[in-house]
Amino acid sequence: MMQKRKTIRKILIANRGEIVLRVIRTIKELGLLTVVAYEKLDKDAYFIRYAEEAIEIGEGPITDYLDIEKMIWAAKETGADAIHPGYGFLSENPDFAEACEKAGITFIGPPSWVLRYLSNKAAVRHMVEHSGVPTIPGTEPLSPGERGLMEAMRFGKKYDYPLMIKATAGGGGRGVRRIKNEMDLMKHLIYIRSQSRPLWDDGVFIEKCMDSVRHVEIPILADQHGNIIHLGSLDGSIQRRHQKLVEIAPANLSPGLLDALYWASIRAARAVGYVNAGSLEFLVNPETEEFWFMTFNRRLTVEHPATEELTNVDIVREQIRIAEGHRMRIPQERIKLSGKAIQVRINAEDPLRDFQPEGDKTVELYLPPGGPGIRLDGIVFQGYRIPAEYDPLLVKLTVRGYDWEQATSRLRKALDSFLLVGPHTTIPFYRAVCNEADFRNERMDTHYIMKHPEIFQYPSVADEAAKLESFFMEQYTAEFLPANWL
Amino acid sequence: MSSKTVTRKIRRILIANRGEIALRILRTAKEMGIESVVVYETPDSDAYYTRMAEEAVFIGNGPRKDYLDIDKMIRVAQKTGADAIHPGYGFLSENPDFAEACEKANLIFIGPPAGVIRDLGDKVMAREIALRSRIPILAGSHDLPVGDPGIETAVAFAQEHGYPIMIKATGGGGGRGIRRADSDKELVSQMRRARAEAKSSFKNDNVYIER
Repeated sequence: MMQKRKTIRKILIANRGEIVLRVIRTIKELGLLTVVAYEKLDKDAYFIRYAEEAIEIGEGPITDYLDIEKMIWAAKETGADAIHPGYGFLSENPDFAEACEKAGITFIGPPSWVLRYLSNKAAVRHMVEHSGVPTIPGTEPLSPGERGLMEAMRFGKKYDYPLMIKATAGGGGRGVRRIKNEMDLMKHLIYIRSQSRPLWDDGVFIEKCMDSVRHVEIPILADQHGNIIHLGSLDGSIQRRHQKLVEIAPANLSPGLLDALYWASIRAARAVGYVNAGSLEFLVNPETEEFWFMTFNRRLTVEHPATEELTNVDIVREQIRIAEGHRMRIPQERIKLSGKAIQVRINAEDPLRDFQPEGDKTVELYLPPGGPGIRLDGIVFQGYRIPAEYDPLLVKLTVRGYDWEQATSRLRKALDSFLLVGPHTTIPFYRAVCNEADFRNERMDTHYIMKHPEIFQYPSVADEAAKLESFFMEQYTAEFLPANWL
Repeated sequence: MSSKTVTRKIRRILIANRGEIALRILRTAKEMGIESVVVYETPDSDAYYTRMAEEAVFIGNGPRKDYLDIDKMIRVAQKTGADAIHPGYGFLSENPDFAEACEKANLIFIGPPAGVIRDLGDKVMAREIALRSRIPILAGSHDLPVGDPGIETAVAFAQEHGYPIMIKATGGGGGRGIRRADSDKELVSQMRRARAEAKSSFKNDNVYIER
């Protein structure tokens, strides 16, 4: 069923942080109006200043960004005729998409029935397998009690350990545990069931754990007229606790393997009637050229800037045009993947203390890098107080270069001159990764962090940054910082 | 034609410029693992670009004249062990004497050879080169003779091609040393002014005209 062609005039962004700013930028380029719905703690945030309008929806934290009724109310109250859900929060929630549809508000994403279908992991696996793409061996959601335990153990005997236990309600790397053996399995299952946490309550399933594979993602764009294109690939192998730390576009794989991944993705998207932006994640063994489907993401990816830098496509712009009902004007042949793009997430976290978040600290000095091939997507400014209640992402740094060697030199140099004083950040950690031999030779897999504990042996402040810092602190201390800081 | 390519590895660059272009150049130098030396006059003592290089050398109170001092730049390069000079844009970047001085001092000038800069810096010569390469140019003259003969040539040109015409300093550049004339009367007064200006700004009082 096709939606009629409509012209969007005012978009409400139902999200927070850097993605809000990212989306606002393109909406403004298109000459459209923006509204941001925010929780009270975000009242002074940088990103809401860029919108024409901002409307407070509650005290939160987080609960109001997940409140469908409030978001619909906010849109109606401000006269928004469309909603962009960002990533995370309500972006993949079929009830939210449906509520928008019922309220006559254009949801900038897939139709609610597609979201509903794709939220059923078992159905998706069947559909993907049916279209000829292998999936990672796994169970259905485990039955309650002893039966479930038996199901899990039977799976373990058949496919061997290690295994992964995953929460059905999980996503984005959350709700995942690695299981070493049968004892571990029993221990984890019993523990999970004894807890009552929203993440695990919805049920769990078991999957085979693949070691030393690469994590590859294929972003796609589909319009309402059946046109589907892929936007190259991304390698997100370098992870910690299943959260991607570094994203590389494109993935370093053979053309044959990439083609197979592209076609598998487009086939799956077509089979399900997908519309708008999304991506498919696979685990890949580059040696045997085997790959297994993992997930179908139904929203803009966090790492979309790396894809945009590589392909020169403004994905948010395409999302809006697709939502308006236009035919996509980008044929597959026009997607040229030139060079390499690398994205890192600069979080307010201390990698030396197990990535402990640095909430409530203030950014005293902020002087980001610049020059060719450098892109920043962030919400930091000098004087910004980092809220402890939300995720610690400060700024995404994306560099683009001719090839791997140049892109990594550019990344290293950008991190060397990135001045962010106040909280601990992941900047020195990434600098250490840039200097590590395997990374420099583009050798990585999902166990990279485990294999390279030495990247945590970095000095707390690099020489270069220290030199710059002392100069700028002299300059700005008297004028810009409050007296009590001294 | 030589069949052998000789390359020289650059390890340290002196950036003979200031401001954003100095920063731009040193960013890429860093990426390539090349050291940078920057220079600064007194007003640039606190400039951002001076903090980002491996070495920053003070060259005088200026303003601007020290960034144009060829001898000083060569001396700084030699003292700091630079093996190459990047001139940026503006300042000495299109000065053939500077390029030549670098070549004589065995410093790699990151730009065209001195001879090419010299030829192209003479706008009449540049037009000649364009003509030879069959690149279309605006109708115009060669260097005009001084005094009345020059005026006569200009008036005749204007009669053939019509007004307005542009009087340009042959040794000019950067949009400077250009005057417009809309009539024979203006042509005479502007010509005089143009020559005087050319002489003081570019030390070369040659002018030519163009449509």
